[in-house]
Amino acid sequence: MKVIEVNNLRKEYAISKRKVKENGKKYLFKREKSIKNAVDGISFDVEEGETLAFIGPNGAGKSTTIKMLTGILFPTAGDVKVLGINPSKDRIKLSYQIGSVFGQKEQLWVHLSAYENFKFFGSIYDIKKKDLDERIEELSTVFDIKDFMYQPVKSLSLGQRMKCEMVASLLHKPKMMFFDEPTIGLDPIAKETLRNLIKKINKEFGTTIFFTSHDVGDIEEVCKRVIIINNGKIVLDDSMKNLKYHYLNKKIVEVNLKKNVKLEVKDGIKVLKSKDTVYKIEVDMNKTTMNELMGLFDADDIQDITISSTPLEDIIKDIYRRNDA
Amino acid sequence: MRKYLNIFKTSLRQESKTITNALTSAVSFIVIIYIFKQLWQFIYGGQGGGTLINGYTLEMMIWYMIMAEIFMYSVNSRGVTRAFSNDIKSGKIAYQLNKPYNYYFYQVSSTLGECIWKLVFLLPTALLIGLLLLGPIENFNLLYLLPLGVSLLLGVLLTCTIYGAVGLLAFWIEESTPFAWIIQKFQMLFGLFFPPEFFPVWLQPVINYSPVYAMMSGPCKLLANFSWDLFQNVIISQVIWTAVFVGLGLLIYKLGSRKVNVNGG
Repeated sequence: MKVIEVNNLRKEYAISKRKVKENGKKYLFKREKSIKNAVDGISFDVEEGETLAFIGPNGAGKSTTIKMLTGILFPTAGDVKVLGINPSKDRIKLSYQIGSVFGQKEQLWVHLSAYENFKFFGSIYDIKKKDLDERIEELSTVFDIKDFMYQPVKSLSLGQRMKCEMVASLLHKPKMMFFDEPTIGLDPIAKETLRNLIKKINKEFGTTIFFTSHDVGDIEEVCKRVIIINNGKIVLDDSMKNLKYHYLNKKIVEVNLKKNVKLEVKDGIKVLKSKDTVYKIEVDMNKTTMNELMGLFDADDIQDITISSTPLEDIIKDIYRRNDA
Repeated sequence: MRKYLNIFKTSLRQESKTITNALTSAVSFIVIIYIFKQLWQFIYGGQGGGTLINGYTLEMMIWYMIMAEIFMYSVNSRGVTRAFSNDIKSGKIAYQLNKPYNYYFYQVSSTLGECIWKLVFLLPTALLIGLLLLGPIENFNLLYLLPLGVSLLLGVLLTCTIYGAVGLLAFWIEESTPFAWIIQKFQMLFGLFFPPEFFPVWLQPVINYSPVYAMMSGPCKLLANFSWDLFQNVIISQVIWTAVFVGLGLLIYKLGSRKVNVNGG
């Protein structure tokens, strides 16, 4: 079942600035308007239970898209349906079925404890007292927050606070969760914990996950499908598996030799860096083989060798750049 | 409605964690009333001695001021408006707009919680300073406390709805506090500093039919010189103006939420 249907979605912003005279100076009052396409006619669907990474460089249009999907922003054109509901027409109806977590923005009352906040959000979502108590018990166990959920939110660490933000967003059992850079500012351990929790939400509650982040680790660990958006357009929509399969065809070989050698130029083999007897070489596995590369050295000369794949982060950067060019 | 009552109660609970702010505000209230008392005493030429200016004795005038200052201190009018601007500028509006409530009512309910918490400290302080400086109000009956309380609460509610509606302009211009500043100056000039009777005759009906009367001068006059006729008059004005500004607020919200630009995407 499709939970998100987006068709030719556009969002334009009118930018007004002072008009420039022929001599380069600006008019005091005359202004000219220009239109910026933050989201430029994108279309995609999301199936129930999917974990989708919606990524792109800064200003690509990802947050604008999320905000149109949750009914916060009104589209300029195009159709959006989330769980069969038009977000701009039935925002309140939709809000009972979706949850959202925005990194570095807080929804909790900071002087109150997380528990008091949960009680508040329960009342906002019209959850019955008994159901709410059970839900708080369930989520506080899953998120392991029982030790600190009675402390004022202002005294919690960012990691603890983000866990409480997530619990607050999950109280009403949303069918879809929107995460907008939820791990921003977190230390590696807190990030790891949060990623595991998001995976758990998806697995245990069957919640569809719509995720944006600049942290490739988040995307790689949490999501099975990736949509890359740049300049308001979708430039890639594929499974994470395919992305890795098609783009991870380059290997990085770092080799330390006993002596300097002159490497023969071959198609698919590119020396990225060389210093003294240490070489960093990129091998395109579509054009050559590792055997070909090894043939360039005398086995007795090799002191140390490391072979690694191109990091996913570099691949994504490459996709962004290709689209910018 | 129950939802907004919960927002109000939660806001009240959140405010109750910051007692120091409310206490310092009460102390500053005492200083202001003392200064005004000295000022009006000078205008009345000493202790008053039954002198009437535009129908007000010195005591009536100071009780009027006390009530007016209760309004000024309990509702941080520019703060109400700023809350909207801050939500939009910080991007927090993203959280507020996708919740199952009306954002305008949410802010008004939340602000009411803050105001009521301040009143918990201001009312006993005001009563104490008034009784110490002026003694009991002439011809005052304890029975009047209930209608006075109703009028005070309606005045606070109306003030919140007005500044809230102004705050919603932030959907278009991000910073709407300058508008609140202008309205606050009207409120101070025509409500706080002088009762309507101190203005030219031609201007008095304008003030008496304006929102300033419903949000400030009316309830202040009730404390200074209570009558059931005046009470009826004030309450009708407060109910009408509250309904007008709630309607206006809802309309601005409906139009503005289509225009909103959320910072950070």
